[in-house]
Amino acid sequence: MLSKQAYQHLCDQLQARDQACIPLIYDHYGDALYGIIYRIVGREEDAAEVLQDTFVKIWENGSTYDPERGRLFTWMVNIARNLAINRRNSKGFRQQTEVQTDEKLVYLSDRSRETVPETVDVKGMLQKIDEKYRTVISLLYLQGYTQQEVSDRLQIPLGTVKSRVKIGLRELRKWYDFDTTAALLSAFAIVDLEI
Amino acid sequence: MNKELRGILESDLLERYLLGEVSEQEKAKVLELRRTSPEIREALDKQEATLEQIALEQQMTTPPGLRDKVLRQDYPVEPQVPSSRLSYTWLAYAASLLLVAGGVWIWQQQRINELEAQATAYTEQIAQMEADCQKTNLQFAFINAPDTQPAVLTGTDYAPNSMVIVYWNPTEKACLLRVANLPDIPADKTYQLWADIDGEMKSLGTFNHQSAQEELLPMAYLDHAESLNVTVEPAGGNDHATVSTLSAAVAI
Repeated sequence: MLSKQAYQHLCDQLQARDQACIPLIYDHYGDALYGIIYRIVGREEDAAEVLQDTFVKIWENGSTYDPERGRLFTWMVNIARNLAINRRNSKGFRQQTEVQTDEKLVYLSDRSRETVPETVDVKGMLQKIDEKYRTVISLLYLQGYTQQEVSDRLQIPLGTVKSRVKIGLRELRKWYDFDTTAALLSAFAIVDLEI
Repeated sequence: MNKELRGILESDLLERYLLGEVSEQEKAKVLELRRTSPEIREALDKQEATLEQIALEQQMTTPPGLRDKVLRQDYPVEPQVPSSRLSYTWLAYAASLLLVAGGVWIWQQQRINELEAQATAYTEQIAQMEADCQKTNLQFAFINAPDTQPAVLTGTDYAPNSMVIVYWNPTEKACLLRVANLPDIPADKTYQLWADIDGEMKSLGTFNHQSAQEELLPMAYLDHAESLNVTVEPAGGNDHATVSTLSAAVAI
């Protein structure tokens, strides 16, 4: 993750319409944005095009980004996710995937209903929380489904989806706090050892 | 925290907001709460940072060549002019094109200058880092040499909490000093390292105890030292050790 100072500098550059921010955003967040887009559209060619469109939109709307309303990354993810969902829902995209969809449906129906989809790796903080929360958060945050779609797909009540999101995010936040604190403590420990 | 805020934190409004599943009305409400309530702001900030971390952990490598495509796209610097207001003559159009081209040229020159300055700064930084790295490697090798003995000088009644480490190598006839703890002294005083040889204190040099806390300092080496001692002396050093200010010592 970028340092606080570098992050602020990036926000300033974007708001000031400084083109130097484009390669910086790509190098720091390109893979993360691409990961979300790819999991929504499912095809490399489409994901690449959507990522290009995402950068155009980020640039066009950069001067309107307001740090008071949230983090830059969240703002960029929303742009990427919306463009990817639009692409997934477009007529041309659906026609192209008609043949594949049949295979996919058979595959999905064969799978255990609550396993994590194969496009999400069980690693990092996600591996630290229970699978039922991980599945719901992956589908919502990384694969662009709505809560209702997740409820339909997993065949669990909407209320259960909502509570799993809430508990899952709370658990993740605890781990995030723990990891951040641990990183700080280990930094201090290194300093101590040096003396 | 008031009842309404607690209710909001317990509801799923913030989670839905972060996942983009709120109405415009709800979105406006969350933004207003973020502005006015430190508790809501903290909850949102933490949750956003957590989700960002997950997205970074789950990132996927972009296909080769995509970076170039993204970077080569058109990112116009000037705000776009609404089409209804485009009623220039060709001359004015050409003139504005020239202006834009001139602006781009100036901008490019500025960028080139900036990048050149950055490149120079980076080159200097790298050279400095290489020099530091080399120095650290040499010191590391010295400390770990089989003939190097770490001598830990401990405190005395004069300065009970003192601790100084001297890495002493009789084969290479060299030593390095590091301060773990020494009390601050007035500006007109300095710490001085001494070797006791046949009952006589011989100076191995003065040192700044604050610098010696941050890096290993090379000091003089003398054969047949029976003990190492640190005293407080007048700035610039002393010919004879002031035993009453003996701050740390060890027999070797």
